[in-house]
Amino acid sequence: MAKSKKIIELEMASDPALLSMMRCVVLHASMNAGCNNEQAENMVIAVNEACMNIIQHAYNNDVNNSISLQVYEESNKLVFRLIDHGNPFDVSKIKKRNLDEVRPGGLGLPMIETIMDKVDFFSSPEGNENILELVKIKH
Amino acid sequence: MEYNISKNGTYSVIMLEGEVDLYCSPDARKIILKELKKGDDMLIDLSKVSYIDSSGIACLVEGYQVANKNEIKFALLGVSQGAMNVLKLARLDNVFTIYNSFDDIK
Repeated sequence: MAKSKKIIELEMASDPALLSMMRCVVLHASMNAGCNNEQAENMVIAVNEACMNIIQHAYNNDVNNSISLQVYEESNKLVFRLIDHGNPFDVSKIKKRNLDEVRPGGLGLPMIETIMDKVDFFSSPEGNENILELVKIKH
Repeated sequence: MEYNISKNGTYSVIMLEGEVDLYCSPDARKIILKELKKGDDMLIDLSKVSYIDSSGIACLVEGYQVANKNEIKFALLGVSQGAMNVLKLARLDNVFTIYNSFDDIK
């Protein structure tokens, strides 16, 4: 099993006003982990969209909840783990937009999937946490 | 996010500046829809946008749709590299009319 090193752990309120700060953290963590500028900017886009989904859907825009962001580096990949305690995530109910349709909304998840190599949703064993794991293979 | 509204010929030009994210995209949406009600052709200048997320892109899509419905020209101007990257990821770069500068508008 590849050795995993946690390089960042950030606990933030589910407040859109804090997304800018979170993006700075992700940009610098990604570059420190060896991403070039373009790759790091794409990591920022993916993690930002994931946080937006948590704020809007798991927490229904309530700013008084928390989002935990953990970033792990392994030899060949970068892993972003987002944890929330909001509404359970039901993958089967996600209405993903066909990116060839032109309409507002539903863009976040397809963009995340385009950027990342692996996207996993799961619940903690206790069932009280939603965990979203975004994996980018380093080339 | 900051913004500025000006006129250039028949166009109403809304310049958005800074980060257009979930925190301020509701403001961007209001500004665009309010200006569209005047009925003038519209340019959204994204040259000074340092970051735009899907909520910001959704404002542009909504503006584009309202404009089309009302037969108003709606285009993007001087799209910054970061904003273009997001438009491409959303596969919307070929949907909007995009001008590099005022000189490209005929």
